[in-house]
Amino acid sequence: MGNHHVLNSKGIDIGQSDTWLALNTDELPDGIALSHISLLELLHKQEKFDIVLPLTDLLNAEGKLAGGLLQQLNELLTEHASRVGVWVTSDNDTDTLVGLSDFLLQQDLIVIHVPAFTDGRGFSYAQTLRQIGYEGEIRMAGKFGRDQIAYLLRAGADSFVLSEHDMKSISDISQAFNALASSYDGRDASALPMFAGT
Amino acid sequence: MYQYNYADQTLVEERVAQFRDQTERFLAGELPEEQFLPLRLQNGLYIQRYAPMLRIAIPYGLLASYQLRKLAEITRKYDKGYGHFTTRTNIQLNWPKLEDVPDILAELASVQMHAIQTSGNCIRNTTTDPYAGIHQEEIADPRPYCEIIRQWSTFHPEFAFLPRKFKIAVVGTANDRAATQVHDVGLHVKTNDAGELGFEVLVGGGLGRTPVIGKVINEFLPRQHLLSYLDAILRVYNLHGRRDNKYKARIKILVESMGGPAFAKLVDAEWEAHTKDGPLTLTDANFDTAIGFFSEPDYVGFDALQVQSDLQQQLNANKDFADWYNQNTVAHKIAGYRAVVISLKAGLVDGTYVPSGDVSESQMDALADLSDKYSFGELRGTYQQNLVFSDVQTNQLYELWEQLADLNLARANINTLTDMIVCPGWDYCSLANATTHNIAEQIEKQFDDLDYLYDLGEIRLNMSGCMNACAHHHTGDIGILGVDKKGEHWYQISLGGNSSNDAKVGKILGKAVPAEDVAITLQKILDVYLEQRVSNENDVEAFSDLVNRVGVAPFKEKVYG
Repeated sequence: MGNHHVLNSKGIDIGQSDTWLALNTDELPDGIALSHISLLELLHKQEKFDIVLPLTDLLNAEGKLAGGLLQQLNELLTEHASRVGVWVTSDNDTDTLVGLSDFLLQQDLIVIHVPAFTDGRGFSYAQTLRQIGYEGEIRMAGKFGRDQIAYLLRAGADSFVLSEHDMKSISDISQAFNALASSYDGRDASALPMFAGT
Repeated sequence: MYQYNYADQTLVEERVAQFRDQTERFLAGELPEEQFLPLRLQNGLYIQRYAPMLRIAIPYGLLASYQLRKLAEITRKYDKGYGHFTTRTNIQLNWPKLEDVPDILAELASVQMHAIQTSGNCIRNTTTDPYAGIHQEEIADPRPYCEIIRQWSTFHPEFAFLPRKFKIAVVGTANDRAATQVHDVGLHVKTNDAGELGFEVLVGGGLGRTPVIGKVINEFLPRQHLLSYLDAILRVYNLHGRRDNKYKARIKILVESMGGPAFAKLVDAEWEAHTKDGPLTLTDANFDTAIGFFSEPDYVGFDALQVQSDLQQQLNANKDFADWYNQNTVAHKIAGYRAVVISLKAGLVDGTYVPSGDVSESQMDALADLSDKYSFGELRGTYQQNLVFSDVQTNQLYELWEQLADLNLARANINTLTDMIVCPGWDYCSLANATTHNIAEQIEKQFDDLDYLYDLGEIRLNMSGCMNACAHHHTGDIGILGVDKKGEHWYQISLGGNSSNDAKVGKILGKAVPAEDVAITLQKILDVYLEQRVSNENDVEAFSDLVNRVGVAPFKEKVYG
């Protein structure tokens, strides 16, 4: 994922072995829509197997999966053994996510992009994906902070994209993964302190 | 009272370690300000005009004597020897040093206290009725449910970065003494026809710039669903609440924008699709466990006739005691006991104004001792910024009163005009537009005759230093709002607000008055009341009833001519 580090749920940097190419519409040259690009060519050029696409670019105006791109995706999946992931941002309504559950459940990776440290929707996105039964990898990207990693793990995230700058400014990242080690995931009443012991 | 187990204690200690690390990283320049800000707020730490302010949680207002002693010690060691009790039954320290805060949190953890989620855009301290568990008319004690909510919301990983703060209040009687209708969520304990316990659920109340009364979205939620339903409300809010404008980010704006029924539908859809009857469902055994922490203290039996006759003699013999008994004590479900309200509105002590809700370290120590002696070692904070001893033997009231009077804590003004809710104002809050303490002092000087106050009857006077409305000026019978006009502090007055069952927002009387005119303006308002109230031998029309009946017009006429 570019010049970024990817940390897994244990805080170990898996960036070197990461095979995902994340495609961000904002980074494409002006006027080029995703549907005009050969995903296969792009993967070849970047020497990557697997591609993460912005969910917005897979949808038509009605919020349904658009035909052309789906065909490309299917080709990648069936003919090139690629894996496909989707990239959701806070502009994607969770109702849309729930409505696409059949499609999302098949994906190997869902990246949740956090637009600002204080924007906590990503926590509920992760939770919602787990609620609809998604068992693949949830990867956080964007402006979350290291002090949110422990909460994000409990809300359902598995991995975290950090910039070179973030990695350099953090002396001991492993602490972030172990913060408030005894706290719970918010999902089970029997885990509350007064009930856990009884 | 709830006692921490190993798990609770570990949690607060882990929090201290986490915040110590965050503070050190911030001071070392490693943690950016924009990230440290929400993190410190979730530990109760504000940076105010002159100094930081630390808000310490007192869950649903319940405080043990040993905890109060620790608070006294902390204010001596790290602050200026006093604390300030708030409407949401927390306590604030006005002068801690940023670098001392981790040590203060460690001291708090040693007595099962913390400052977790007392601020920031997360689920805050749950509040309740100060007479919980002792009121004759109670359907069920709300405190076990408050404690369940406390544990559920503490470090809830999904709801720590909400669009805006989130406050929950629970009451167990028909009479609402916790302002539940102006909370983000209000829960009213109810029973259904089958005798099962549950809650009427209100959502979207709040004050601030846009005061709104909460709307009922569920008339009866069986109690086993308490957490899964709250979970659904919070998720809908977290995903759909506005984040583009902090003044439009509270859940009340979301609920108003779509209407209560549509919001209820969203919550129901979320709840029924995902969490209803899931692992957040509480069991009867869970409730038994929670209720077990709030068992009755060891009340003793009395010869009721003897107690009553002794009390009558004391009341007859001493008018000051009788005034205090009438104003500052409350009926108890157990014969021979009363609840005592300790007025933190001392007014002028030796000519110096004591701010509403302020308690000195020596008063804290003394109150801790008195609560051990007279009220099973427990105290409670109230919405009106007072304290309560909930279980005092009637035959010990007189000696308690004498000792409280020595501490300037027995002013017999509860529910009168000078039982004011007052926010700290401009000097202590960087949000405030105007000072409040000087105005409260002016009011104290104007209305220092207790018998006059008793004649006025119950009047709730609330004064906020800005439109954020921490002192709930909207819901006072008389509300005062400080405003800034070209660098000068002016005060806007409203009449007819209410925070209880008849919750409503007061009507603004007219243009703001200058600081020096606040007390004389109040005098004119009260003169109108005394002239126009209707009385018969059994009943005197209350201030609130008169305002309801005649509106603000006659008051406006008198004030502005």
